[in-house]
Amino acid sequence: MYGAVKGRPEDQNARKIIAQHLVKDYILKEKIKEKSGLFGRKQKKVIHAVKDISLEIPQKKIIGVLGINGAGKTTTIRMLASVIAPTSGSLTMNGVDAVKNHLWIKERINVISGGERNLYWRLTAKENLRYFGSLYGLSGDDLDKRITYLLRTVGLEEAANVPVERYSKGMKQRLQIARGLINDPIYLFMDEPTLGLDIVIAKEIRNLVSDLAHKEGRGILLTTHYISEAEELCDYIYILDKGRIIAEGTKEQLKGLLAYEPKVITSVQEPSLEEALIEIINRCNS
Amino acid sequence: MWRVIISTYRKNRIGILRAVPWSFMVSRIVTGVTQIIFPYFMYHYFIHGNLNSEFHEYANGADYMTYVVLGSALNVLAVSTLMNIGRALITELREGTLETLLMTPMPRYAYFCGCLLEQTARALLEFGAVMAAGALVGADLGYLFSVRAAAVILLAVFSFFCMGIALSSLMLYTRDTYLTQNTLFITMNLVCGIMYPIQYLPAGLQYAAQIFPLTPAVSLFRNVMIENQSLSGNQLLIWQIILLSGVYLLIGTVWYKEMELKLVESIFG
Repeated sequence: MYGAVKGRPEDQNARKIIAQHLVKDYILKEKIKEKSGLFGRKQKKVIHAVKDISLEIPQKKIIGVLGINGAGKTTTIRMLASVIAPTSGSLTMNGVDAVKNHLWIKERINVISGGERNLYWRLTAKENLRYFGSLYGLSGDDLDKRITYLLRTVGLEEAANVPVERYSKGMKQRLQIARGLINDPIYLFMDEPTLGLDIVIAKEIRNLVSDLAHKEGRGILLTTHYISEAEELCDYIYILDKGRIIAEGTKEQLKGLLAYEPKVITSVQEPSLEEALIEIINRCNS
Repeated sequence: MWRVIISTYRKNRIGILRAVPWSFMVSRIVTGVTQIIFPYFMYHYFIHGNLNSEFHEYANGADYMTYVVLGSALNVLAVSTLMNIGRALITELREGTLETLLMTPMPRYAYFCGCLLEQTARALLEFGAVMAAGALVGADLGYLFSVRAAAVILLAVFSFFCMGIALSSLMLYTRDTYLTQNTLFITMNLVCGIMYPIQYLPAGLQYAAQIFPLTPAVSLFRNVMIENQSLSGNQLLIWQIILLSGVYLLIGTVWYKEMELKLVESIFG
């Protein structure tokens, strides 16, 4: 255990992450070319990556965060995961102040990103998991059992002693999931976990994500560009655009938002979530 | 803490051995030997062993090869420690594993200590190669296997580690490893008394040399190795090393925290 709780203790009845009015500004230094002189001068520019986001991630639920590129999804995840501090706003996990207790929080959460980074390619799956486990204070038999269980869960038992550099993209992604579960997190942040995977592996991962939330009781925040994935998995969805939540609800509620605007319904079928998302973003921008 | 140190040591060791299984070790030994061969040729075939009495006075009566071998051996440890500690995080950044590391609650110092342990094991191989090559060309290394010499080496490595933490922040700030480290290593080689006594340098450079822990460390190492001086007789040098270590550690710690915040925001923002 690395962190002790500062401030209000953990509330067993409030089993959720609550983010209220999260704001994240970045100060960008831009070089301005002077008319004369060798060196330019730098001007500060404030970028509002996240303007005002309030959301909840209860345990046993999969919460989707959807939006186009640059909407602020990844910045939001990084704030929720205590990787970056919010400029303002409050963040609590099970009633504990996440900003003041970032070490306590880090023990209980994990982030799984899509893509092939975040793993040591020269190490085997077992060695990777052993290293990351040790960073969370795990060791000995407990760690070994956890590694064996996770490798079985993600179907990498047979490739456990093969260096990651020899893995396929799908195998790397499955190992990423095992790494994200090494500390048995209560909350998981998944940033496009099926990015670039074939349909078979993507389906396996979606099934696993569903089990992690609905059977194992973890709270999951999922960002994805695959709307069908969000439609299949998410219990509640937030739609982000330009650093703000522009709509939220269950997939039925989001589709229902369009029902009041007959012009957008082009067929007799009810609109898909993808149509709803595009329409909501377009409406917001116009 | 220890768990993180040992596992970081293992992770780095396995990574290095799989990346360059044996050629790396050979290159380390060749580098060490070259550091001795070059001054040996200079001394014997260029200046034909002609050194004035000033040198012997500055070098506590040591012959040139003994002087150079001791300086080079400690320089090898300094360069290796500074290089590996300094660029540890930036290497994680390049390999794409930094974000995952920063997400864990591990103590940062334990991570750096793990890197130190692994690189010291490798650097000692080069140190041994320098010493072996030195013994072959006639350097007097009679006091190498003494508690005093071991204590000085430990103290020196600690001071290089502290400077490495500060260098790590500098590298993160500049996002550069090669220019930062090579400029520093060349400067250290020139002013810290590796190949020649610093008394030959202009007064300003002699003062500047005192900001590097390598300068007092190499003097202390030579005092112990050449004249078998006691540690208590070298308190001033020991305090200088401890003081410099403390200053670098403080700068590194304060700066690192700020750098990590900036780095995280600039990379992941």
